[in-house]
Amino acid sequence: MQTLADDGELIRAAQRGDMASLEILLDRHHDRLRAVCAKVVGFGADADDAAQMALISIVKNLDSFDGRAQFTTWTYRIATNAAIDELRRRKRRDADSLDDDEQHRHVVGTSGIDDAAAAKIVIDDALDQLAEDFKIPVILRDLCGLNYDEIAEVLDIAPGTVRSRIARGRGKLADIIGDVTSGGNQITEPGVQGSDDDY
Amino acid sequence: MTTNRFDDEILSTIIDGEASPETVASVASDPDALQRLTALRAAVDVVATPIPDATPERRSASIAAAMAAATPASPEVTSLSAKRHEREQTKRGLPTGWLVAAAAAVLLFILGTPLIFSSGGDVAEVAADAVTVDARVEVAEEEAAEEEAMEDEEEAMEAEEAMEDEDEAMADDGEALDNSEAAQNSEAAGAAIALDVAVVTSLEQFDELVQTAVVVPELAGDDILAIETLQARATSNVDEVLATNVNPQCLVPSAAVTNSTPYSLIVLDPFAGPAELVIVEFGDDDMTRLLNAETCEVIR
Repeated sequence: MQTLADDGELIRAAQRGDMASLEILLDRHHDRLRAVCAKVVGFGADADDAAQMALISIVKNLDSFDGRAQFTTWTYRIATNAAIDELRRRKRRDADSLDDDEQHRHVVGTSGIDDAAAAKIVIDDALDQLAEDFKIPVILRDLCGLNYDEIAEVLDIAPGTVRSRIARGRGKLADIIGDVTSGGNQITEPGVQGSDDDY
Repeated sequence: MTTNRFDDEILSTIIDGEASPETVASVASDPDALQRLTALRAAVDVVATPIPDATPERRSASIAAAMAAATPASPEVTSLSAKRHEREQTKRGLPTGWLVAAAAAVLLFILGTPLIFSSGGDVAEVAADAVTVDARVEVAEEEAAEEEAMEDEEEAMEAEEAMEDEDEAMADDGEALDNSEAAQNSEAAGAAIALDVAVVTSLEQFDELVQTAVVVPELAGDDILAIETLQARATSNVDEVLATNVNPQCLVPSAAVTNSTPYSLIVLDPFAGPAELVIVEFGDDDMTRLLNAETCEVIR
């Protein structure tokens, strides 16, 4: 049965123009790629848009996929690029609308918000506070389960750099979560990312 | 953060199973390190938390959009790889640095290819549009010199004024561009790049292009503004309008558009590895459809 075909067979068939195989391939990988996009850009319409862009890009470039890299690695690279593009578009939109920025600002620990709910909001948004350079390696490791070498291949950086960025990213996340769970008041601005120096 | 004896990188390797047994044992005997390790594990859990599924409708829409991108809605307008091959042959013997490619990119209108925008996704319409755009581009290719000569004098003056304004603005910012270098590059490329497309390999390179590209004198009459200006206009124009229409296919990663007809849309496609900067010329009708587009198709 066609649905049982492995990725390699589907890819080869799709490259020959078999639309059914292509659709199976996309269906099979959509959720995985969308999850990456959602972790990078935040859950919501932006994640769906980024995932769709990733799928389109896969389709457009499938002919150039030669199998030397793992298909999953190749698609992770495409998905992270799509998500980064979505982030940058959102940043431009936000820059054009300071009012919107104000609306997005969460004030945690203030009256009117249940502390537990507020804590969950901050934790959910914690990833947004990481710069792309740290966020994406952490996502590829802790969500996707890629090892250092695979992440290095996806991001085209050295494995040692991957290890360092993952550690720093996790450390920053741990600090954010620690601040929240210890009850400190905090103002967060989702989508605002620090420089490499400050995560 | 660093505990007394262990930093996050060491503790992180324990989480990933990359640490030596000796390191693991040492951390196990250090209360501070154990506490930090627990905090790092909590961070891992946050990242690993599954996200809610997409709605079935949205999921289907995404896959359908991707399938549509694969559907041969029309004959290829132009083979980009063929164009690239032609370009490489044409450029053989000329300087091939990035700046040359950048200057070349701003210069001229490519052919073909790339982006056909349609309203409504009608296959026949897309095909017709493709032919229309292709034909227009072909005309532009063959008659570029003649068209430049026929440029309206007033438009040329306006373009010149706009360029001067742009130069002044950049100078004010301390970012005056090295026009002499660009001119040299332009001159070096010369007539050999009658039609061209720059090939860039990353968004960073595109950003660099944006920073270094200048108006090429030969195109002044075409009302082509500095690419920085183009990109700024795109942000407040095409990108935003298309974003409002919630049409991810239209949400090109970076785009710029000139402000008079015939418009030139400059698009960076970072997924076409190597990414390609393409410039497509189109007219008023197309612009109207672009701004009101409900669907877009990229035809290669």
